[in-house]
Amino acid sequence: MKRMRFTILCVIALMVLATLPTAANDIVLQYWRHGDPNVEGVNQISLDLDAIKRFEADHPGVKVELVTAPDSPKLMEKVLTAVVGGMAPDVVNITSSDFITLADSGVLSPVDPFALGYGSMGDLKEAFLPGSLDGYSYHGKVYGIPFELSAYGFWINRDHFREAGIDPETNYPKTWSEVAAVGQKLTRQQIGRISRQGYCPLTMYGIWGTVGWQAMINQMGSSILSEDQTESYINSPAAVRGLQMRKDFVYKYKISDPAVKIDPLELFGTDQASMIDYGGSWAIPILDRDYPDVDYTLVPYPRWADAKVDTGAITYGYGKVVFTSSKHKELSWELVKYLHSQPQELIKLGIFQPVKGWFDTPEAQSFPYFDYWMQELGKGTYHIQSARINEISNIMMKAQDEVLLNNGDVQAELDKAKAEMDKVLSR
Amino acid sequence: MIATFFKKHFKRDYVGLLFVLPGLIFFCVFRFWPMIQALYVSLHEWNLLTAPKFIGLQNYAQLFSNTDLKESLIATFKYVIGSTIPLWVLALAVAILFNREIVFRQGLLAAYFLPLIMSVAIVAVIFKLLYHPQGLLNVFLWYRFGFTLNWLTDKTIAPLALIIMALWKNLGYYTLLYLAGLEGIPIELIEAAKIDGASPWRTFVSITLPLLRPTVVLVMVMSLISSFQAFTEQYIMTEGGPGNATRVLTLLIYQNAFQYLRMGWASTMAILLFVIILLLTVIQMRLLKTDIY
Repeated sequence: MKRMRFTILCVIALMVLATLPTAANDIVLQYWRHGDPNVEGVNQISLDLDAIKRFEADHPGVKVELVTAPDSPKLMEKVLTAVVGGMAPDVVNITSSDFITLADSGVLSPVDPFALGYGSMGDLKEAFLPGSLDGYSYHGKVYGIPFELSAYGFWINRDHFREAGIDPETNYPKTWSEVAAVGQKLTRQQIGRISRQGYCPLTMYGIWGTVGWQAMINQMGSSILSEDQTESYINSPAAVRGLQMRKDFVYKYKISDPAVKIDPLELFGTDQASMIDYGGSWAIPILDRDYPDVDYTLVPYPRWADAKVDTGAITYGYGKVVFTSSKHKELSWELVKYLHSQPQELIKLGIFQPVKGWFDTPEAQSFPYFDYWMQELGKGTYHIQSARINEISNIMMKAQDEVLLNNGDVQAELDKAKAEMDKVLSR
Repeated sequence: MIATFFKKHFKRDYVGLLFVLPGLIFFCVFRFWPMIQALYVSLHEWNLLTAPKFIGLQNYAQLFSNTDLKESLIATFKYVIGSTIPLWVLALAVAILFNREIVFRQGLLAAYFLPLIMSVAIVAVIFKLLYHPQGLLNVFLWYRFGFTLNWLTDKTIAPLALIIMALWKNLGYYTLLYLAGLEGIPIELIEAAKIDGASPWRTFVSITLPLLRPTVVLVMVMSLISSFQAFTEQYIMTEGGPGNATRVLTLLIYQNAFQYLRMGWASTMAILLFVIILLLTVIQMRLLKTDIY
């Protein structure tokens, strides 16, 4: 009996000891991001792990725990649950779209320029590409550091162009009307429906499913929301025109099949789409790895012939934020500095870090279509930034689905969408 | 005092209570307490990130006017009716078929039950391929009838596509339940009816069905509850679309809680779902007047 009691006490003591931090690692920083840690080879997570190793070596007694979620929406859910449970991580890599939700709730800590290695906030702002910090600023304060700035490109399959007798180098479509005309020559049919879409616009992936339409709206000098975000402009002439064009791609020109809800990159890679408007610079390593036989090229994102603003696709990005609940904010920002310290490696993955200076390096300039990306990123408009982004996107998706899938009336659907959106914004 | 209370009221079951205590604690902590919490949250406006604000019954007042909820309830009832009523009949028919000597009975039974052991996610991926615009189903339709369908993107067909998938996935399980019930019916009663000259239909209506009543109730209640709680199918296959045609209540609750950050409203809808399931279960049990529980 005594031996039994002694054994139980030992087990309890060991369990208690196991929960105590060791002397060598008495500070643990939690760093969360999206991605699959099991992917082999060089990827964003392996680069992060390298940076963490260096950080830990330079900061004895500090350990960084990397936690991953499969994708950015799942990551956001995880973050929200943790914040509610009082267990928010120290550092998170989030999308510019999710940023506002967190900033609006006051759970983020303003950036610490000194911990990031800058002499002042002015120096920090000066170090980034103009406009790139806008995605992480709220009420005049900067709360996050952009890790990646991206914009979707317009990809065309050169083989399909040549097969249709179109020179892909010179006769690629420059305007939306030309997309329709060229698309008709590229489209193929099988079992009474489109088997190869001349043009496949992105109409899936939640909040991303309407970014092509938003680009069309921005090109006409309009926007989805008023500047103070109290009113929606979703039934404006620019929005109606954009959605009407997308509808025409389906019903008038018959070059798109919105019923195919499959990743456009996959469709492009498997000869089921000749032109797509999905995939930023990060798509190049994916296309080269997964679809090596596809002869593709990137061309300037189409505009309206009478566009009022010279802007291409929507820009978006990922950035690091630190939570107010972190007990080690300074150290956390220092960790961010390490995580952001290898832009020359990131470019190999097609990830552009919007920091000035390194663009002049050979690594950056040898990246495929480097000039194109620089031009488009500089002209881009950030994706909607609102704490209500998911609701707004859902309303837009609903209207877009009704028009594209059920041949709905554009103006009527957008009038309905405006009423719904204004209701959401007034809450 | 507690000990006296237990001694007085639970004399013989005192030890038994100890055995169920772990389960009871688990139930209270992970099931009952969250239900109470949901009730509490439903009286608040809460975005998860800031402190909840008490708003009384305002969320409940919205239940009668919210158009999203109305749409979602229609989608939910369509799915529940479509995926349960045919299932009750089909599963019973298949069970009756398997309750007699037929060739390859064991092999066929295994084939029917196979979907049961597959995860909903895998089934959803398989059906997504089947329902692809250039998929097997459309190829068949085109060559046999000369037309194709937008299985997952047509707002009238998408709910049906999800129902077909649910029927395929669940048929085996409920057939198994019916089979267990059928095997429990004394063969003497069936034979006596035969000797008395009862037709197979008469035997089924007057003997099999009444004796199968507890199983019928079980199948009805379980299938109803699981259909009301369906989430993964809609989440993976359509994300609630096209439009909001397949956005069932569970999906709407999830969207409001974790995407729109309206936890109070989401909790109110969760309570509504609970009440609907509870009411339907009670009505069903009353209608079938059973005391099996």
